[in-house]
Amino acid sequence: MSDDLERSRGDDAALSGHDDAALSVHDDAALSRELTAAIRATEGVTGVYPAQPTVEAAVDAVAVRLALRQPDVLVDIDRADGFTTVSAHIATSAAVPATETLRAVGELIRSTLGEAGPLAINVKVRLIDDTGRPASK
Amino acid sequence: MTPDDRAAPDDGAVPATPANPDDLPVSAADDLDGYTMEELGDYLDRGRTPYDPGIENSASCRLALSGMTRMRELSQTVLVRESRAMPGRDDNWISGLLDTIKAEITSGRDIPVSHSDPALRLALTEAAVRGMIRRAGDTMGGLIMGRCTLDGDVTTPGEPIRVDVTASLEFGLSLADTAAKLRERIGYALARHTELVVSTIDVTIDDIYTTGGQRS
Repeated sequence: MSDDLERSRGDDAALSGHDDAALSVHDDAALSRELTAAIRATEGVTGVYPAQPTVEAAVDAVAVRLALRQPDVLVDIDRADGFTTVSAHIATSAAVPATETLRAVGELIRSTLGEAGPLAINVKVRLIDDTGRPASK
Repeated sequence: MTPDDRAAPDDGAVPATPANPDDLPVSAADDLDGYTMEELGDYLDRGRTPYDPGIENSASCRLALSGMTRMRELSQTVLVRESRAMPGRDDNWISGLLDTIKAEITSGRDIPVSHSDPALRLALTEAAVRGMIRRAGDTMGGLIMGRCTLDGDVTTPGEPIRVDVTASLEFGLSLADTAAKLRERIGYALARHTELVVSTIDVTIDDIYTTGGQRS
C-alpha cells in the first residue's frame, strides 16, 4: 500500500460526518486505482474489467462514483456497516491455469488491504484468453 | 489449452443447418454491454481498428469477438465456394452460430474456486468456461463446435457435472476418434483451469460435411 494512501487514511480518521464520507470515497478511488494497476501486473492476468455493472453505476450516478468507471479505476470497493467488499473482474491468459491466477489476484488484494477489518474479496474470471491481445490498455 | 493447441484446420467444413438455435435463449443487447453483434462484426471487419476501449474492455464483447473470429477463420474460404453451390445455406449457418455465440456470452452461473482464506471468494463465470470449451474444440481441426452446456450444479464445489457439446464433423474423419480426441481436450482444459468434477463429457455429432461442399 502506498505511503500516500496510508497518510490519507490517517487524515480520514481525524475527520467526521460529511467530509469523512467524501474523503472515504476519494480514498477508495485511489485504492481502486492502486489495486487495478497491481492486478494488471499479476502474472496470468491479461485484463481487468469494471466490477460494477453499468446499470448500477448509473443508478449511483454521482460524480465521484462515476470516477470509479475510469479505465484505471476498475476494482469495486464497497463499504457498508463496517464491512468492506472488494470486487475485481479479470481476463486470464490460457497459458496459466485460471485457478492459479485467481488465487494470486485474491491474495494480492488481501495483502494490499492489510488489516482492513471484516471484509470479503470477490475475484471473478470473465474470460480465459488465448489470443494474446490485451483486454485493456 | 495452450496457444499451441490453436492450429487451424487446413480447410473448414460448413454445416448447412443452424447450430441449435431453437433451444438457446437469445441474449439481450445488455449482455454485450450496449453493443450489437452487427457492430462487433463491423469492428472485426475493420481489423479491430481504431481501438475501441468500450469493446475491448468488455468481457462479453471479447467472448463474442473470439467466437466470431474463430468462425470466420474456419469458414472464410469454404463460404465462398458453398455460397455459389447452395445460395442461402451459409446465411442460415452463420445466423445459427451467431445465436449460439450470443447466448453463450451471458455470464451465467459462478463456478467457485477454493481458497483456504474464507474471505476470498474466487470464481469463473460460466461464460468464460463455455468459451474455453468452445475453443478447445474449434482449434482442434476437423470439426466446428455447436452448443456447449454445463449440466448440473456448477456452483457447489465437488458436485459432479456433465458437459454436453454438439459439433459438426468433417467428412472422412472417424467419428469415434474425433469425439474421443474432443473429450480429451475438453477434459484437459477443464482440469487445467477449473476445479469442476466432470462425470461425463457427452459429444453429439449432429452434422457431417464434405470439404467440397457436398452434404454426406
